[in-house]
Amino acid sequence: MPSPLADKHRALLLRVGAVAVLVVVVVASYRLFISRGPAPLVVYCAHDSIYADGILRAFEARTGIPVAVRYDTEATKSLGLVEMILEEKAAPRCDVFWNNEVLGTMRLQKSGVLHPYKGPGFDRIPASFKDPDGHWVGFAARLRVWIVNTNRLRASQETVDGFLAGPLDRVAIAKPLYGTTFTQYCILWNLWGEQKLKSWHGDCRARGIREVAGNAQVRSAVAEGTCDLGYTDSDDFFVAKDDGKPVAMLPIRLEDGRTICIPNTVSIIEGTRRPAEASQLADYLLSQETEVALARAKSRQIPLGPVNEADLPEEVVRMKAWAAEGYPLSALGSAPEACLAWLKAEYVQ
Amino acid sequence: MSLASECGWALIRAFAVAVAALIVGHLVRDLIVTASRRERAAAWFLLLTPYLTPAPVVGYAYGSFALSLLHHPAWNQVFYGALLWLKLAPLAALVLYFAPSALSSEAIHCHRLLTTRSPARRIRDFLFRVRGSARPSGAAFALVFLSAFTEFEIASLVGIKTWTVVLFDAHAGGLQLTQSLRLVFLPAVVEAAILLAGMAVLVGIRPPAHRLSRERSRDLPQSGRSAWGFLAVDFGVVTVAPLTIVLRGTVQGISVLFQDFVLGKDIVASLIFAVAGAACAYLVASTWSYGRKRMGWAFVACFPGLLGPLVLGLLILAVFQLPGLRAAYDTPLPLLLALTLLFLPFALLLRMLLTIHRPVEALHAARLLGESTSASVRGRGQAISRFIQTRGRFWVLFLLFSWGYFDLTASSLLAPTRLTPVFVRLYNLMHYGQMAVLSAMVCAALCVPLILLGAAAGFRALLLRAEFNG
Repeated sequence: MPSPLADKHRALLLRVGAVAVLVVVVVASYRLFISRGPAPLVVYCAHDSIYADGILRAFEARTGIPVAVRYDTEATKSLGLVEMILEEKAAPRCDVFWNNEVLGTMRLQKSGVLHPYKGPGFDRIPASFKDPDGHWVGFAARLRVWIVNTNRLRASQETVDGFLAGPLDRVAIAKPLYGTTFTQYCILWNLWGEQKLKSWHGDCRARGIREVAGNAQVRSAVAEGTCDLGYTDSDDFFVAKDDGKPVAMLPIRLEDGRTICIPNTVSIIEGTRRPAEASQLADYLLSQETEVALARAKSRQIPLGPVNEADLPEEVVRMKAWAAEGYPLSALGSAPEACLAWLKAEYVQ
Repeated sequence: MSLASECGWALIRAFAVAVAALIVGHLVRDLIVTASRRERAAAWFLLLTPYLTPAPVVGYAYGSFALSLLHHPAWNQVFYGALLWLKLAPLAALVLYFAPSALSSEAIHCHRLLTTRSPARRIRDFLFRVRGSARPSGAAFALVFLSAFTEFEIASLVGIKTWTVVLFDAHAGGLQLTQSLRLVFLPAVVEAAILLAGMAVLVGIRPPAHRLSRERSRDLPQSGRSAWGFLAVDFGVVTVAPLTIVLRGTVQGISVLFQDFVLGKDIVASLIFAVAGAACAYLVASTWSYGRKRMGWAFVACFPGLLGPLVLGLLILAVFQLPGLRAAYDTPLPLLLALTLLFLPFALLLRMLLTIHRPVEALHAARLLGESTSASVRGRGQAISRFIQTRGRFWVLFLLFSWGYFDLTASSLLAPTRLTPVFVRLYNLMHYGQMAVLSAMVCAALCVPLILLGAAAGFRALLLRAEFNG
């Protein structure tokens, strides 16, 4: 008759064995059924999946190149895809990075993980929206805008300026640690210098500006009338407008009159095992066809290269003129690192 | 505000939520014990549904309401606290139901008879309760406290700044892993202390000689009404209202959804990870869930899970970048490991509860039947024994499965490129506001675990019936 101790050992071994079998079955099934066939082109995409998916599926259908996409999520946006690419530097999994902004891409360039490529797509984008060596190229931009609740305020620059001179408890802004609000802060850091930005930021907080988690919350706060005015992006504004909310937008202008235009960027990862397919996708994303498709999507991205304006919605044509006045983001130098260090000290102690 | 001070506030909030959850938990436990069979089924449904309603859905649904409190941050704090209480009180009731007092009512009565009036009586009474009737409350408190203290998804969606959100912010623009670990050290110590206390409480509980008798508890009409009232409010606020908000466009969106059901693969991915993660955590927890000697090892194994999905996810990501492990990076292994480690503390506590709650007498009787010389009696005895043993396991596994199915942070960090869990995609889409097709997607994703639960329960019942009949 087996002893109780032997029974316990047998039970322990059975459990360990069961865990091992389970793990082997899951990993083997993945290898056999999911990762079989030709290896796909791996795309890390920070642009909204709802708009990007159609573009990438169209590329797949046209070229026959299978694409596997990893999207960024709001849940991990602070450490998202840029951090993941840096983490995987020694053995990259990603072939093409479609970012929805420039600063993270520039950080990757500084870290030496981007592969230069100048194809036909590179040639059609203006010089102010691309790296001259082809490490990254911008396309399909959005603008930083004021979102105004038209039941509360008139949507004019004078009204906005007057409103900003008083208390700011009905003005909303996203936490500036991430995204396009961070880009705006970096531009102000570069333009004003450290001290002026810090005192402006302190003054805004002292006058009660409402900080929320992201641009989507700014949009909702203004659209629902909780706030009268907010800093957001043009694509977020259009969500509220399409919902029938009483909102209007104005471009946010810097003191010298320039706007803040933030393009998507495409870059090829150094060490990609599919350079030919990666170049094909980069050119496809930088094509007129993709820019028009993104302009006609609900987010109304602004084409940066030459396109037939008759193909564009009216709002996009108007924004295209504003985008042309955009501040050159490639001139930011070391501002992002310095600005982020200060913001992190400010928000996370 | 610093991470340490946010940690302090979270501590106070978690304490308040856990105490409030305990009060309600006792009422609901008494209700379930005294209710008729039909009432009990209704009470279990009203109790479990809010707890299993995914936190991202609840947070997303109440995001707009919380934003309307932008000018009243104190009220938003109260709202978040209330939401946490409603979400977690069912957990307290569940633990109280499954972890009976270590002392029988006869023992408590004898203690009262024996104690004389003396100044030290209150202290002795207190110590007696700690050893006996207060132990289940301690276990329930520990589980609710841990859940409230580490909550992230609802807090981030309703605009509450808590330590989990500050930790998330600290990772903006990247952070060295050592710095991440340094930041998470203090909260992890707090969690470890609570886990240790919870484990110590559960280790001390023995299966009771008698269960709560229905007749004894019948005279609770007032508290019964309060319990029903709470269950109704809980179900309305945590399940009905959020699902109504999120799913209101389902009917219009369903036709669009089925034109191109891209979600199918994501749902399969979620199912694979949830099933495998729950099974692994349960099996590992079973290894350590009994015997004081194993508690030390169990506690050590639980510690990585206390770091939370964000830091644990980053840690595992870094580990799988090491030369020897890189080949396994883009496979299900990293996420499976993360889910197992994340569930382990809860799996262990739940597994300990199961061990305590097993009906020793009934099992013994069933085993005696199983040793009968008559083949049919023997078969039935074994069937009864299996039924008793698998009932609790089934529910613990389902609970772990549902956590895995609705996981977000670890999944978005560690899932292989071609196997994205469904809630990663849905959470991403929720960012764009309400759409009919999104409602239909959420509906489809929510229905799958329920259908699976029904199928698994039905299959188990059929299997047992077949076994019982012969």
